[in-house]
Amino acid sequence: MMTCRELIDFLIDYHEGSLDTATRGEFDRHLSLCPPCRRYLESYLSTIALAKASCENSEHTLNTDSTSTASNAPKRPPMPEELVSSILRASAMRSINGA
Amino acid sequence: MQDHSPNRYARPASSGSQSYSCPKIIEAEVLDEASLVEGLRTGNNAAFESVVRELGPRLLAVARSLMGNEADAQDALQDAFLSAVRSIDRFSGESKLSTWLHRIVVNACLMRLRTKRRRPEESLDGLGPTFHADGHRRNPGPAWIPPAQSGIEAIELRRFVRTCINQLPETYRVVLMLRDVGGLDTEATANALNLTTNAVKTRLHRARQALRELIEPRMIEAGIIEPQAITPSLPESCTDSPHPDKAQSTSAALSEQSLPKRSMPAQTTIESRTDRGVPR
Repeated sequence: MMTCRELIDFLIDYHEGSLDTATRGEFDRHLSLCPPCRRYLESYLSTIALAKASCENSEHTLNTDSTSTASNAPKRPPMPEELVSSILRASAMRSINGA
Repeated sequence: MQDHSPNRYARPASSGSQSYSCPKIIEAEVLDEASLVEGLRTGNNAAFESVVRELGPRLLAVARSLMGNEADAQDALQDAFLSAVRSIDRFSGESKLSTWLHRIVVNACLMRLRTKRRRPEESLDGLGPTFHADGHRRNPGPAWIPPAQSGIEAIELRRFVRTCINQLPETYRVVLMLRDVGGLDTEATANALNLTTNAVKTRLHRARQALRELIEPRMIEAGIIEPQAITPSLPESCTDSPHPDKAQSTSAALSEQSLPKRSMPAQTTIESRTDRGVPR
C-alpha cells in the first residue's frame, strides 16, 4: 500500500496526469482512505491556482496576450527614471557607435 | 536612433522629473502601435522613449519576478530593449508589440540566469511535509477552501502570495514562475533553463510544497478553513487516522467525484510561445 510520503512524491505526476494505471489506482485508493492526504492534495492544488491567480492581471504576469485596455489595466508602479534614462542613453550610444 | 523629431508617439506627460534630455512630449495622442513600430524602424528616439515608458513598467515587473532582485531585473530589461531595437526589423506584426517585447524580456532574463554561476541546490529548510519513519505524515494541517475570487480580501491575498513566491530561492522560484505562471510545459522549461526534465519536476514540486507551507498560516489566520474538516473526532495524524494500511479496503471509500476537479495545465510548447524573429 502506498504511504503518505509516496503519495506526496507522486503529486506532481498526478497533477500532470502522467501516473501509470497501476500507480494511479494505488494513489486513488490511498486518497479514498486518508483524509489528511486528501486535504494535502486539495491545498497543493489550491497553491498552484493561487500562484497563477496572484500573477494574473497583475504587474507580475508573464502572459501579455490579455486584452486589457488602458481603462481596465492594473495600476503599475512607474519605471525608475534612472532606468529609463539608462536605457535611452544606451540606445543612443549604440546608434552613435553604429553597433 | 538619430531622429530627434518631436514626440508625437507619447502619452500626456505625468508629473515627475526627467533626467534624460529626450524630446519633450508635445501633444496628447492615443498610442498607435503601427506608428510606434514604424518609429522604431526608422530610429525615432521619441518612439523608442514612448515604448520604454509605456511598456517598461509591466516588462520590468516580469523581469523582477524572474530575476528576484532589482539590479538584475533592470539589467535584463535594458538588455531586452537594446535587443529589441536591434531586431525590430524581425518583428512581423503577427503578435502585439507588447507580446513580442515580453518574450524578449523573458529570454533576456533566462540568458542572464543561465550565465550566472551555477548555484548548488538551495535549501528549503522546513518548507515541506515531514513524515514518520513508516512514511505517514506528521502534523497534517486543516483543509483549505477556495478563497474569495474578488474584492479587497482577494487582492490582498494575491499580494501576499506574490510576496511568498518572492521568498522562494531563485532556483525554485524561476521554475515555478515559468511552469505555473508562465504556462510553459516541463520540457520547454527544461530547455529554457538548461536543466533536465527530472530536475524541473523536482524543483517545481518542492517549490509548490514550499509555497504551500508559506501560504498556509495566512489561510488559517484568515479563517479560510473548512470547519467540518477539523472536527475534534478527526485525528490530525495519518498514524492515528483510519489509514489505508489499517483500514478495511471497502470501508469509507470515497468516490473520485469527491475530489476537487481541476483542469490540467496547458501543455504549451515553447515553439507555440515563441514568435519567429524573437531574439534570444
